[in-house]
Parts: sequence; C-alpha cells; structure tokens
Amino acid sequence: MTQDNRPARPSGRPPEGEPRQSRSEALLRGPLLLFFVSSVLWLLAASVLAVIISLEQGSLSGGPFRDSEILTYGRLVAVQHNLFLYGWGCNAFFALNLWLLSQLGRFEFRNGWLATLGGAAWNLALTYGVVQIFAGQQNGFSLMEFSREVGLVLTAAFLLAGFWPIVAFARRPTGHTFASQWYVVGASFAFPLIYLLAQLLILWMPASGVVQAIAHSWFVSNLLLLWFGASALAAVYYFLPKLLGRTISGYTLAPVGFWTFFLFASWTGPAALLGAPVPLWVQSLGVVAGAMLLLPVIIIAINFHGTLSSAGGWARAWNDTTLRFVSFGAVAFTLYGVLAAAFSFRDSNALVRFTSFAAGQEQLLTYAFATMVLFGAAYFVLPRLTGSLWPSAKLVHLHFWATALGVAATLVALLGGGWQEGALLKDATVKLPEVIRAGSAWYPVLTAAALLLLLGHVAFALNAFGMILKSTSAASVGRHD
Amino acid sequence: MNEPSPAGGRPLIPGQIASWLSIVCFAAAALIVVAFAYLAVRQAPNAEAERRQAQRDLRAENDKKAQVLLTEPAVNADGTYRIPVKDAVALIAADNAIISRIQAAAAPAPAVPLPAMDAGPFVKASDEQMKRGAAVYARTCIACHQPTGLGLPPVFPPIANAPIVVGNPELPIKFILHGLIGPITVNGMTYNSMMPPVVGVSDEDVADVLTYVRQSFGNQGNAVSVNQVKAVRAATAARTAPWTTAELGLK
Repeated sequence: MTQDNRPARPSGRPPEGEPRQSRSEALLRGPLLLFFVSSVLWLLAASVLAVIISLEQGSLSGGPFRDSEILTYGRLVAVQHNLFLYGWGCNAFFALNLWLLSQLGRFEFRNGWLATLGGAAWNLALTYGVVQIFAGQQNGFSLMEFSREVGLVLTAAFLLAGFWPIVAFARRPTGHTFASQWYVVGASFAFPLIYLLAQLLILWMPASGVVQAIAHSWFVSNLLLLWFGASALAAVYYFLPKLLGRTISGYTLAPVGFWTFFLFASWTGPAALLGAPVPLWVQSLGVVAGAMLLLPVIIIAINFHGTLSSAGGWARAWNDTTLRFVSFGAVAFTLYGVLAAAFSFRDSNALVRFTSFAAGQEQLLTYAFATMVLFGAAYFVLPRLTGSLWPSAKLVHLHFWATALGVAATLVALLGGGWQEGALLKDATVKLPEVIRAGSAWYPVLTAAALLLLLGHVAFALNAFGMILKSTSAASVGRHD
Repeated sequence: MNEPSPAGGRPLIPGQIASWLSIVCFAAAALIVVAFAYLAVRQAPNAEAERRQAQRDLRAENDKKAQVLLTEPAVNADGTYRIPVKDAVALIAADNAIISRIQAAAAPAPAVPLPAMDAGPFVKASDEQMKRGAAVYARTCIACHQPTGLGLPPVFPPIANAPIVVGNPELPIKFILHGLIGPITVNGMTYNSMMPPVVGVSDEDVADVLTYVRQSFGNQGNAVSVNQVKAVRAATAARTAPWTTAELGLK
C-alpha cells in the first residue's frame, strides 16, 4: 500500500482540474487547509505563552507579568497545555489522518463542508474555553480545564471533523489494509470515547473520591498515547516506506505491535499515581502495563529502525526534509517507550516523583515524537495540497534546527533536572532550599529552549503561510515533486 | 457501503454520510454501554446526596453552636454564669492583673492532696500494680485523656485532680464498664460528649488502671480492689446502654 497515487486512475481526471494534483487531494483542499492554518495559529499562540511561562517559572519575583491577573501562572499553563494539544495537535492530526486515509483508501471526499463545519466548531469551542480559563474559570483536572459544555461541543466537533478517516477506511476499495490505517482508525475511535467517558466520570456525574484521580490518569495516558501517539505512529508507518521506497522491515510483526500497543497503552495511566492513596492493585496495573508496553515499543522500533538502517536509509533520511523530521520522531518514540517502562517501576518512579521528570516524558511524546512527525508530514502534504513549492529553504533549515535543538534542550532540562531534583529530595541531609536552588539552575535553559521553539515555529509559519498565499494569489504552477 | 449506481438516482442519504452516520452510531453504542456500566456500579446518588446533606447539617449546627459560644452569654449546667468568648478576651486583654492570674494558674500547681472521700489514710499502691495500670492506661485511655491525664478540653475531660476519679470508685468502674454520656462539669468546665465502654478489659485490668489513675497526675486516692470491680460488674450485669450523667446524679 505504499504506491503513489499518480498513475492514471480508471475514473479519469476532470480536464479543468489542477493538472498535477490528484482529484482526492483537490477535494480535500478546503477542510485540510482550514485544519492546517488553525493548527499553526494555535501553535504560535501556545509557543508565545510557553515563553511567558518559562519566564515566570524562572523568576522568584514572578517574572515581568506578575501584576497581570490574566497572565498568572496557573491560567497560562492551563491555556498553553490545552492550546498545544487540542489546538495544534488535534487540528493537525485531523488534517493528516484524513489525508493519509484518503490516500491509502483512494477516498474521494464529497462532504468537505461537514468536516469544515466540525473544524469551525472545534476551534470556536476551543477559543471559548480558553477565554473562560483566562477569565479564571477552570476545572482542576489537567487537559479537562474547559467547562463541561465546551467538552460536549468539542466531542461533537470531533465526530464531524475526525471521523472521516474511518469513513475512508470503511469505503476503501480493496480488502487489504496497511498499518497506518489501523492506527488512524484506532486513534479516531479512541478520542471521543475516552474524552466523553472522562467527562462523564469527572465532570457530569463525578465518581466519588480517588476514583476521579484514577479516571483522570487513565484519560491523560489514553489521550496522549492512543490519540496523539497512535496518529503519529500512523504517519511514520506511511512516510518511512513511502519516501525510502522500500517495505517496512519486520512488517509481519506490525499487527502484534498494533494490538499490544492499544491493549497496554490504555492501562499505563495509573503508573502516574504510584504512591498516591489509591488501591495498590490499581498502581500495580499501571506498572505492569508500562512494562508490557515495551513489547509494542520494541516491535515498532524493529519496524522503524530496521527500515531506516538498511541500505543507507539514515543518510537518505537526513537529506530529505520530511524524513529528517519523521525519523527524529521515530527515535523519540523509542526513547519514550523505554523511559515510560523504566520509570513506571516503583523504585525508579519513587526517585523522580514530584519532579519535572513527568513533564519531560510528556514533552518527549507530544513534541519530540508527535509534533516533529507532524512537521515532517506538513512538508510532504502541503505542497501537494497547494500545488506550489515551499518559498524558502533557509527557513526550513532554521525550522528544523531551532525545533530540534529547542526540544533537545527542553528534554535535557526537564529529564536531567527532574532526575537531579529527585536525587536531592531523596537525600535527607539536603535542605529543601538547596533542592530548589539546584532545580532553578535549569530555568535559563528552559527559557532559551522556549525561545528557540518559538523561533522555529515562526519560521515554519512564515514558510507555510507564504506558500498558501502564493498558491491562492498566483496561477498554480503545478505540484512540487 | 455500496456506491449507489449512477442510474439509481440520488439516494436520500449520500453513501459517505451514511457510512459516517453508522460509525457515529457505533461509537455512541460503545459509549452508552460503558457509561451504563459505570452508572450501574456507581454509588447510588441518593445515598451520596443524603450523606452530603447530613454533613452540611452537622456543619451548620456546629457553626451555630460556635456562634452562640462566641457572642451570647449562657448559664452552665451547674448554674454558673458564662460570658461570651469575645467579651472574655476583651476583658482579659484590658487587664494585666487577669493575665498574670491566668499565668499563675497555668503554672504547675503544687500538688494539693485532695481529700479521699470514702476511705481512711492514703496507702500507696505497689509498684507492680502501678506498672500494670500504666500499661492498661496506655492501651485504652491515653487517646482521649492524654498522657498527662489532662484530657483535651472542651471535648475530653481531665482525670487529673478530678473529684469523681478519686471519690467513690463505684462511679469510675461504672464508666469503664458501660461508658458515660451526657453533660458533665469537671473543674468548672462543662463537657458534653461520650465516653465509650472499654471492652476487653478484665476485672484485674480495671482495678489496676483505676489504681494507677487515682495515684497519678497528682491524684491521691486509695487503690481499687478486684473485688470492688467484681461487685459493680455483678450489680450492673443487665445493663447494655452507657450510663447517663442524669441518672447518676452528676452535673
């Protein structure tokens, strides 16, 4: 299923259509551009907020915005987190998943207005929720800060915007399926179910006591792994063989990897509750699932790194913009899986508990893996949608280096800093102010990293918007190959 | 899922939207099944609501009592007069003499031997018995009456320098065997809570712990014998409820 779509199709192509753009891409153009443009705008907003947050974190006196109630840390962090995941991540994966399954299922999307409606509803609800948080109304659950009505609208919008990949899968012409399709279908089913169930258990009919904490940890791990993680895995499974022109090595293992990933990843959440007053068996469940997650991680690593390692694959990946981002993400995913397994064990988890380590792990999954894969995919998909070239190669390089270095520095600061802080906290002879001083030494690194990421995102946005504007203003000059 | 044939005209619901609808229905069905399971195993909302209401009522009642203590004068059970806490605080703050008197009172008082009410000269109990009594005390009494015997005013009354404790041993034996409930004034302070019956203590334990209490914390009462405990236990064998202060004539 890695063949290109370009060979003549039996149905024929309308003569007045764009000459070198496939018909399914022409039909997808409207909704996909809406998703893409809004995702980049949210990404820019989130990265500006991330810079402000890092300044506030790094300053004992509260940073430059300490007198502004709207910009207090608690609100900014909630807004930034939600914008990054629901604004950038979800919008971008709506676009990428739909494009991917349209390609793989030869799907000609005739109801673009429904997806556009869903995208508009999604972004309006997101805006409303963010305004609410800025105004000081939020729920005390990470990634569920929006009021419950916003949650309902988001779910309805997801059904409109995010279910078309499944339609494309259901109406595929052949019985054969490919790994990317499994992961996208799984992810698209996972999101509304986990989101609505978590809303029900926590906001609408709250379970009593610690059950809420258990439900929340379950929700967060599922959202990050089964929606973001699985969607990004689908993209890697597509782009690696497509751009390297070879089959996935060890592909017969891929179904096992898929099913074990969906089975175990959904149970890793309670590992975040180790040491909390929840029943021990619930915590142990998280530990076991975290260790078992190694199985799909190893299989996926064999698939990805095996494909990349044969016949100079790494060198070719380095010289191809899309592959450079995507293989960065593939490595990050393996790293994430190993870390997640190693630090779900009780002893190692006790060392990094209550430190920035967990934030580092999440950053590894959502940025170093999912976001880098999304960037790579954008470099591949956007020229095909707009029918024009990326305006500036320099900006592409700037984008890669700024984001790669930025996320690497963030990870070193969060993971290394978390480890160091944990080791100091464990030592009873070290006083708490010393621990805090040691931790705050990392804040300049985090600020610099946030600035680097912002720089990279601005470069990406300039390039992307320049291309979109060029394609709509001038006559299209055909597709970039 | 079949594509409508071109000759068949426009279907009512286009094929793609029909697929979409069926997928949405599938997801909704899955959600409904799981949500129903959750609602079925979840604690009944009535019980939850009742528990919350009871908590709210209790809190409101306590707030009201506290408000009364703070703002309204009241008469104690023994007829003494009690002024509001805020007035008392103002009075104390205004008068250095009162403060020094309070400080003097709070200083450890010289052990004034209280008159033993029912018995002859004071006889010190054996070290053996005191040790056994201290062990029982640490096991059963210490949580409320504290290691110092001073209790935790205003909830748990003191047993140090308390006339009831060193008086006729019949009363404390009764308290230990069956508990005590109702308002009681000890050393000028009124307590209104409940002492639960102490289960699992033998007659020897009761005698030892009472002897220990009557000869510790500055108390000077004579030892309690096992026979006294046996007699009280036999006399009150039929009793199941805690004693009330009213029926014992205590105030």
